[in-house]
Amino acid sequence: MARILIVEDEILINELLCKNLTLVGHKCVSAFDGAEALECIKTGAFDLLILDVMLPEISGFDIIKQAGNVPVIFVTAKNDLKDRMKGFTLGADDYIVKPFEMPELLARVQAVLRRTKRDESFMRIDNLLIDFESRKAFLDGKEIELTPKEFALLDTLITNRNIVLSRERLLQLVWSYYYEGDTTRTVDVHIQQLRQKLNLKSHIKSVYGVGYRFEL
Amino acid sequence: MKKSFFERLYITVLVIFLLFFNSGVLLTALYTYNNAVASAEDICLSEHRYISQAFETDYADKSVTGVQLLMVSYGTFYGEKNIKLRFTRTYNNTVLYSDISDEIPLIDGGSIVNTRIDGKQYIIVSDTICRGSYTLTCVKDVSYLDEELFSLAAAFTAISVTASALLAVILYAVMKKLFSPLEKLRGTTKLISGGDLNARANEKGDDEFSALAKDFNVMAERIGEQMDTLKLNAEQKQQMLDNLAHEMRTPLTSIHGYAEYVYGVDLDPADRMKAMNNIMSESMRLKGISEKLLNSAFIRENGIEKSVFSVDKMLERTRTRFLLKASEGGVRITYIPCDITLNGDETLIELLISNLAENSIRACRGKGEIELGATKEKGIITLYVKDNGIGMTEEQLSHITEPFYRTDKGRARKDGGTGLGLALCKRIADAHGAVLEFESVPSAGTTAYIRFKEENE
Repeated sequence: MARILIVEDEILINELLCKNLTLVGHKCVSAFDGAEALECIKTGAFDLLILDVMLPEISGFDIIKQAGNVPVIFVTAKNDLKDRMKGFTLGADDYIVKPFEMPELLARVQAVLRRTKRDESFMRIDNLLIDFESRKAFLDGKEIELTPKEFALLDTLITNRNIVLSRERLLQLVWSYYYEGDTTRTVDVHIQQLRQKLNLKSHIKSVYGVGYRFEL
Repeated sequence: MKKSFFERLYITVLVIFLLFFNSGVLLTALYTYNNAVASAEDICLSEHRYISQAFETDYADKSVTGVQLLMVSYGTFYGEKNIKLRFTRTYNNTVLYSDISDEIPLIDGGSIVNTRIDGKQYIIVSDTICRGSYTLTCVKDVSYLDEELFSLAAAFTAISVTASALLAVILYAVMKKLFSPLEKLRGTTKLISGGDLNARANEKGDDEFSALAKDFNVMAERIGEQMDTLKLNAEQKQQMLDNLAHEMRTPLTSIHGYAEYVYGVDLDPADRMKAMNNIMSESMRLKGISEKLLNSAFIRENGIEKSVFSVDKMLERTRTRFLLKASEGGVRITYIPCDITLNGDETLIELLISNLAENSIRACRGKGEIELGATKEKGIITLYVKDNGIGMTEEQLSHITEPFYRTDKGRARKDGGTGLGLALCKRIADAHGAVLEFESVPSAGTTAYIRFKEENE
């Protein structure tokens, strides 16, 4: 769980980011312009800033200069190399171009939080302990053998907790490429493995005709 | 090998000058020499005449010995003057006296000859004297003339070489100086072609070069201006594209995001409805943008179709269309009948007035009055849309016809503004040759005028 400041002047997008990040367990504060954002940065301790570049009055590039050592992810409609370079030069941790897909954003948020050690590297669910840093899982204190793909699947489900992920999307996120034909069975097999090995039957829900959702 | 203009001119001038100069020197030398020869011949002739006269006077003893004695005395005297004599009897060519070597031929009387024998030059004057009884030949050795000629040639060569060298150097320096403006101009053109568009040529002086420099500077100025215009255009296009990308991506992000949200999250019915509503409103926003872009593109591609129509009817229709939307928040919308007909594209002008009316409704912030109308003065028809809304500052006024410019970013979007309305209005006005003008006072209201050209009846 991390405290995230969302700076985005588009109310709908701000709300959307806030809703999704809250769903996966973060605490969010919304700011709609540069001045408001600077005020929030001064008063609140944040683990991450999600910054739009094109803001009224004060641009995202100006805000990042005052963000101190808080990690920053730019979310912007500007997709030219010059802007991206500028973003990274100013110390951004990542750069996401609109329109983006929510799992991608959530994955990047998680990656930045883990990389900058802003989020706990451990997670406890009932009597299950997950160590994201060493990529190991312990049930009642005993390590459970997981293949790298199984752990990646678990990680993805938890990153997108409370959100349904279709089998195709899971293939794309975990196996990193599109499978041809009816290979989505691979996903089902791995889900079964996770449920059995880690006793997660009550958390990994099948959503009929859609996919799977990790409920927490 | 190709030579530069400077080199060609330099060499041509130098060659011509040297040709004339050296010809002059040569001619002078020849003239001097010929003069010397002529004067030597004159001396010889006059000596011959003198001897013959003296002989005729002194001639008393007509015996051979007497004549010979007389000739010996002459010969001795003239021998010192470098003139040698021969005396013959004419009728049988008997030589009575001679101190001339035998190689020199006897020549007929009454002639003067300039000849060379064994590398020596002689002038020979031969004529009869004493009424033809005798022939007197005078020979003058003029070999010294050759020496004089050589020394003269040497002196002239020295003068010629020195003068030529000096001339070459001075000519080079003078021409370099004359050509220097051209060189500088070339330097400037190089700077410009190298990308420094601010380089300018030196315009000092009032010769052809400075005129050229002035013309050149005018040209450079023009090019600079053109480049600036092109750059500005390119920047504006890029800005427009950036804005368009932003304007399209933002609603797309919302639509996709909320669709994902509805699809993937277990929501209660109220949340679901709200998300769906967001998707719908954002897709309407995209639709608005695409419609206005299409309208703009349509006008650009197809131009306009003019016809004469009644302004009253058009304003009435517009008013009716906005009546509901305006009165929702307490905005009163009226139109003043004017009985004017206009020649133009009725659909587009109605679109223009609608866009302006829509802006006015937004500017009223839910409360106010909007007046639509038209006037005709001195043949100029002016349509206007007047409101008593929030108005605009000078700064805002200067930007409002730029695509995606918004006076109040957040609010205009919420109201469904695309930021393209006035850009479209301007395009419609431009297509009609009409002028779109705004008068605005902050917090007092705005009036938009569309002034048509006079010929519009």
